[in-house]
Amino acid sequence: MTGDLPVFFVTRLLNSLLVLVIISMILMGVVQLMPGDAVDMMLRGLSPTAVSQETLDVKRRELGLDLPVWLQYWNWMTSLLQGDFGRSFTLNVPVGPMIAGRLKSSLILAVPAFMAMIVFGIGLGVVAALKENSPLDRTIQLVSLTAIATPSFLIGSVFIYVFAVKLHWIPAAFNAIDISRFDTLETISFFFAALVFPCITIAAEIVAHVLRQTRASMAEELKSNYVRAAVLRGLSRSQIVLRHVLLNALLPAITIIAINVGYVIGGVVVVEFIFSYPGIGNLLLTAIITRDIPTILGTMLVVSGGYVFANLVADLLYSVLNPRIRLT
Amino acid sequence: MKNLTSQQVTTLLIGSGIAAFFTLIAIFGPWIAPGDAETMHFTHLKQGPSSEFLLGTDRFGRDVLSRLIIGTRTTIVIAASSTALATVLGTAIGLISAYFGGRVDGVVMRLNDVFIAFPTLVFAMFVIGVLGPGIVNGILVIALIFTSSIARVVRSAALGVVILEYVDAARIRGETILFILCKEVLPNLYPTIIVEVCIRFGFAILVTASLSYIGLGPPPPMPDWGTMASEGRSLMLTNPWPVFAPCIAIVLLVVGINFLGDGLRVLLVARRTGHLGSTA
Amino acid sequence: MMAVQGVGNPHETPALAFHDVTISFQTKAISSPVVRNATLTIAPGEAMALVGESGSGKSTLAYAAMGDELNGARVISGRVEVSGTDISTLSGPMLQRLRGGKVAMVPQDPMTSLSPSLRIGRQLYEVLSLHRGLKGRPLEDSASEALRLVDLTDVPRILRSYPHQLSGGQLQRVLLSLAMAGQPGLLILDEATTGLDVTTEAHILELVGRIQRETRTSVLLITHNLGIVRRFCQSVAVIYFGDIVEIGSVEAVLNHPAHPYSRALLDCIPPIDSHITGQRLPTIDGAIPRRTDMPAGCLFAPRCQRATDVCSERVPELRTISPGYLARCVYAEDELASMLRSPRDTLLNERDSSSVHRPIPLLEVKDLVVTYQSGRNRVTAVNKISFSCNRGEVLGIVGESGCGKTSLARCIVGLIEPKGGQIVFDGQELTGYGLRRPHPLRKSVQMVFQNPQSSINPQHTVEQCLMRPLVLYELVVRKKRRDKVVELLESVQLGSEYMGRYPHELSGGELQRVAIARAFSSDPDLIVCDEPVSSLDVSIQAGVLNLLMELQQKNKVSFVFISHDLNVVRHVSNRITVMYNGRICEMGTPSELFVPPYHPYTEELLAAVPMVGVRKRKVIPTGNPSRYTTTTDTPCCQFSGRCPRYLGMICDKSVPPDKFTHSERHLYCHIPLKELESMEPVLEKVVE
Repeated sequence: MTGDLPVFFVTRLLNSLLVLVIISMILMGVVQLMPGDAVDMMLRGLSPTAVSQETLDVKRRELGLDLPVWLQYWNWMTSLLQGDFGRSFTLNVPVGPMIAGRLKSSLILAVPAFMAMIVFGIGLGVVAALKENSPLDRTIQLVSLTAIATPSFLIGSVFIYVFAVKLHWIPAAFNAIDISRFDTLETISFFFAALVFPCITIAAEIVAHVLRQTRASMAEELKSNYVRAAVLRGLSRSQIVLRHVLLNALLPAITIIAINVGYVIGGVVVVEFIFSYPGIGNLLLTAIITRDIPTILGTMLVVSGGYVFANLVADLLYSVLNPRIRLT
Repeated sequence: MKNLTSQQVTTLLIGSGIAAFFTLIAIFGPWIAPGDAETMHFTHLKQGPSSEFLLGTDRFGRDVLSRLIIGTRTTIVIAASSTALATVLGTAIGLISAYFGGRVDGVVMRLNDVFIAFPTLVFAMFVIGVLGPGIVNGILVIALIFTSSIARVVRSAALGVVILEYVDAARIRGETILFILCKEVLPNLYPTIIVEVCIRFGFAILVTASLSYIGLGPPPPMPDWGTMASEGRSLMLTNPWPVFAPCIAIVLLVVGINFLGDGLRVLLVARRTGHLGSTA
Repeated sequence: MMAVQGVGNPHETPALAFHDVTISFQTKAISSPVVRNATLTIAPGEAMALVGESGSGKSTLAYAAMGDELNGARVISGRVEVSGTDISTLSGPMLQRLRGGKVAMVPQDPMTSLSPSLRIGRQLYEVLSLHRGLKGRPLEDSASEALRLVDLTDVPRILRSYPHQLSGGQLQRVLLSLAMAGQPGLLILDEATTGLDVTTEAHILELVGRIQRETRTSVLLITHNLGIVRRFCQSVAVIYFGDIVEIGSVEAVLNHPAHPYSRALLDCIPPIDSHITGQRLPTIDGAIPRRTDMPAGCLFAPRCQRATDVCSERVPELRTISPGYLARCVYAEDELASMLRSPRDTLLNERDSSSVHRPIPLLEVKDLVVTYQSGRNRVTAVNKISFSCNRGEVLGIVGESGCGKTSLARCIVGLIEPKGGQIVFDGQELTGYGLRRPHPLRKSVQMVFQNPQSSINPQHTVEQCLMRPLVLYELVVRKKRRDKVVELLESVQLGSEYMGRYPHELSGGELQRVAIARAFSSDPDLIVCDEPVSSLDVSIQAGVLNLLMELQQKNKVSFVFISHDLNVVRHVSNRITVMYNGRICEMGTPSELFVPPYHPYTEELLAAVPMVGVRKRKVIPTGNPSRYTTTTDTPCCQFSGRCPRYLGMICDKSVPPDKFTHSERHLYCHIPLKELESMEPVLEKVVE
C-alpha cells in the first residue's frame, strides 16, 4: 500500500513542472501583447522623434525582439535550462545573479515572518478554537479580521509615521544612507527598522490568515463524533486534543501555509516598496516600470517557481500525513 | 430572524450598514462631496483638518475629504466588477467541473492550479505593468485570478450536492443538464457563494488599492484610495490624514463586507432549513 | 426499586438505576423536558432494551448514564446511580474514570466514532493503559486479546490499520472491544447495530450476548427494532416522547403489552402471514407531539384508542401491574386483558402470485452486467442477472449491502448504463438509448428513494416539486396544473395547505408521501422503490406502506421493491428475488421462500432477521470466516466463500444450476434438490 507513494510523488512532481511550463508560456504570451515596445521605451524615452526607425530596428535585432514568438520562447527556455537568465535591458547586467541577490534579501524577511506565522498563527488559532465563543476567542477573531482587512501599506505607513516621523528613531527613507557613518546605536536601530518593521508588517497578514484557518478547522474537528466518543471512553481533554484532534485540524492549514510561502516571495511588493527594501518584489516593480523584459520574465518565473514548489511540498506533506490518502 | 443569536444579528446589521453606506457614497459621491477632487487650493497646501477642509489638504492643496468620497466610486467599481465577472465565470466552471467529474474535472483542476495560489498582486502587477494601467485591464486581470478561487469553492460545495438523490430524481425525469445545474444544484449553493463573493470583494479592494499604491492603478487625475495613500507619503510629517483617511476607509469597508457575508450566510441557511445548519 | 423478576438478584446493587430523573433543555426562561420522571433499574448481568422512536429521548437517557449531556440537555431532578454511586457527586477526574471504566458505550456510527488518523492499535492501547494501567508487553497482549474477544481474525493487521481500511462490521467490533477494554459493569449500545447488515447485526448481538453471560456485564440496548429485543434481552422499557410508558420482562411486554403504545408498536410490524391474508397494517393515528405543544395529561392520549377524559387531565403514574412489571396507563389492566389485535380490514388482494393471473412481462432483464470503478479496480456489482417483472406485479428484491440491488435499480431507471445485457421495457429495448432515453420512456419509469430529506430539493416548495413533472411532460394544461397538484396531495393523504411549505417543515413520513406523489404524478407503468420505508420510524412505516400498496393496486403499477428488511418485502411482494454479491440466489413467492427448500443464503437471512410472532431455530448458521471472498468474475457460486453448506470444489469452480425449470421459481445451488427439501425449517410455527 505504501508502495504507491513514490509513484504519487513523481506524478505530482511532473504535474508541477507542467504547471510551470504553462505559466512560462503565459508569461511570454502576455509580454508579447505589450503595446509599444521595450526598445521604444529604452531609446526614445520621452522624446519620440529623437531616435530614428533604423536605430530602433538595429536594437531590436540585437536584443532578439524581431524573432517569431515561438523562437523567442525556445531561446529563453533553452538558456534558462543552462542557468542563463539573460541580460537586463536597462542595467546591462546578467539577470540571474541579480535575482539571486534580491531573493536572498527577501528570504531574510520571509523566514522570521514564517516562523511567527507558525507559532502565532497555529498557536492562537488552536487557543481560540479551544475556547470557542469566549471573549478571548471573539477578540482574537476581530483582531485577525482587522489584520487581514488592513492594507499592508497602512501598517507600513504607521510604522514609518510613529518611528521615523514622531520618534525620530529611524530615518524615513533609508536606501540612500551610508551605514559606515553610524555609531552603534544608530546601526542597531537602523537594522531594526530595515528588517524588523517590514518583517512585522508581512507577518501580521500571514499570521492572520493561518490563524483563521486553524481556528475554523480546529473548531470543526472538536465537534466531530470521534471526539465525543473519545470523551465517553474516559480520555482527558488534553489527551484528546493533542493526540486525536490536532493533526486532523492542522491538515487544512498546510494549504494556507503553502499559499503564504508563495505570497512572501514577491507578493509583499507593497511592503518592499514602502520600506524601499531591496527584495524581489521591488526588483519586479522597477523592471516593469522600465520595461526590462528579461528581468521581468526572470523574476516572474522565479516567483512562480517558488509558489509551485511550495504547493508541491504542501501536497506531498498532506498526503503523507493523511492516512486516508496515503493508504487505500 | 427568529433563529439567530443577538450577536449574529448585530454582525449582520453592522455589515449591511457599512455596505450600504459605501454603496451610497459610490453612487452619489460627486454630489455629496463638499468640494471636488481636482481643484488645487494653492493657498492651503498641506494643511491639517480645519473647518473648511474637514480632513485637510494634500500636497497639491486638494481637499482630502472630497477626494476620498469621489475616489470611492473608482475603487468600488473596479472591485465590484471584477468580483462579479469572476463570480459568473467561476460558478459556471465550478458547477460544470463538479457535475461532469472525470476528465473534464481533471483538466479544470489543472488549469486552476496555475492560478489558484499565485499572489494576485504580483500577477496583476505583471499584466498591468506590461499591458498598461487602466480600469478595464485592472478589472479583467483581477477577475481572471479570482475566477479560479471561486471555481474551486463552488466545485467543492457542488460536489456535495450532485451526489444527492434529488439530482438523481431530476436525471431520472430526463431533465436537461442546464436545468439540473441551474434549478436543482445552484440554489443550494447560494450561501456558500455569497460568503465567498464577500471575501473576494474584500480582497479585490485590497488588491486594487495596493496596485494604485505602487503606481499601477488608474492614471491620475482620477482619485483612488491607493493613489491617495501613496501621494501622501511625503506629507506624513505635517499631515498624516491624506494617508490615514483612505486606509481607514479600506479597513472599514473590508471588515464590513466580511460581516455582511457572515450574516447573510447564517440568514440564508436559517431561513431555508429552519435551523443553523447543524442538527437541530 | 426492584429489578425485573427472574433476572439477577433483586437485592444486589443495580448496575444502573434511574430514580425519577428529569432531563431538559434550559433556554432562558423556558425549560422543555426531554425525559420526564424516568425510573428504571438494571441488575448486574441483565440485558435491558430501551425501545423508542426518534426523538423519544432514549439516547439522552443513555448519555445521562455516563454523566454527559446530549445537545445540552441536563439532568434537573432525580438521581442517576451507577453501581450505587450517584453520578452527580462525581468530580471531573472521577467522572473520567467512570466513563469507559464502569460504564462504556458503543455508538451508532462506527466509521465516524474512531479517530481517522490514529491506528486501531494506538486507540486500543490508549484505553487499556488508561483504565487498566497496563504498559509494555502486557499492554500489547491485552490488545490482541481484546480483539480476539470480539471474534476478529487477523489481529496483527487490524491493530496496524486505520479506521477507513476496515468494514462497518469490523469497526463495530473494534468499538465493542474498546468499550469492553475497561471491563465496565454496564455496556450501553446506542443503536449500535442499526447501520449494519442484518446478518452482521445478528452476529454482533450474539457476541454481545455471549460477553454478557461470560463476564456478567449488564447491557442497555437502545433500539427502535422490537425484533432484536426479543432475541437478546431479558427486560424491556418502552419510552414515548420522554415518558417511560412500560417496563417489564421481554415475554410479558412483547406477548401481552400493558400500554396501548407498546401494543400499537407491535401491531405495526407485518405479521408473518400478512402476505397470505393481504391485510393492511394497523397504523397509529396522529403524530408525535411538538415540544412546544405538549398535551397536559398522558402524552399518548391524543392518539390512543382507549383514551378517555381522565387520561388528558393528569399524567398517569408509572405503576406496578404485577411484580417487576410497570406501566404508565390508567387502563393498563384492560389492555392486558385484551388479546385481540386491532381490527383488520382486508384491502389488498392475496399477495401470492396467483393474484397476477396472466403474467404479461412489463420489464425483462436479460444477462445484465453492471460495473463501476472503485479506485484502481473495476468492481462487478451485477453479474449477469436475468428476471422479469409482470404488469401490475410487485417484485421484491432483498439482499444486503454490496449485493448489487442499488446498481440494478439505477440501471433500470436510466441513471447508469449497464456494461452488458439488455433491459426490455414494454417491448422496447432500453439499453440502446444509453442515458438518453426519450421522455415517453422516462415518464413511465419512476423511482422512490430511501431518504426523503435528500430526495426532495430543500430549496423547492412542495408545489414546485409536484408541479415539475406536470410541466416537463406537458401532462396537464397550465390552468389545471394547480388543481392536479392538490389532487396528487390528496391521493397521499396530505391537505392542500402543504403546497407552499418547504421540505424542512415536513416530517419524514409526510415528505416520503410527497415523494410518492411525485413518483405517481407522471402516471408511470413501473416504479422502483429503493428502501422506501427504511429510514422512517416504525409507527410511520406502516402508514406509508399501506399508502404505497393502495396506490399500487389502484393504478395497477408494477413495483420493483427493494429492501434489506425481509419482513417488509414479504408483506408487499408477489414474488421475491434474493440477491447476493451480484447474482440471484433464489426467486419465488413469499410462501415458497419461507419453507424449505431454501438457498443457504435465504436460510441464513431467515435465521438472522428478527421477527415478531414466530418461533425460530436459535442457531444462526455461519460459514468459515477465513473463506470469505468478494465478487470474482470467474464462474463460481458467489456465496461459496460464506456458505455453511459448502460442498467442496464444485462450488468454487462452476456456476450453480437452477433447481427449477419453470419460469417463475428459481433456486441456484449445487446441492441436490432432495437435500434442500429435507432441510430443517427455520421458522417453526406461527405464534398467535
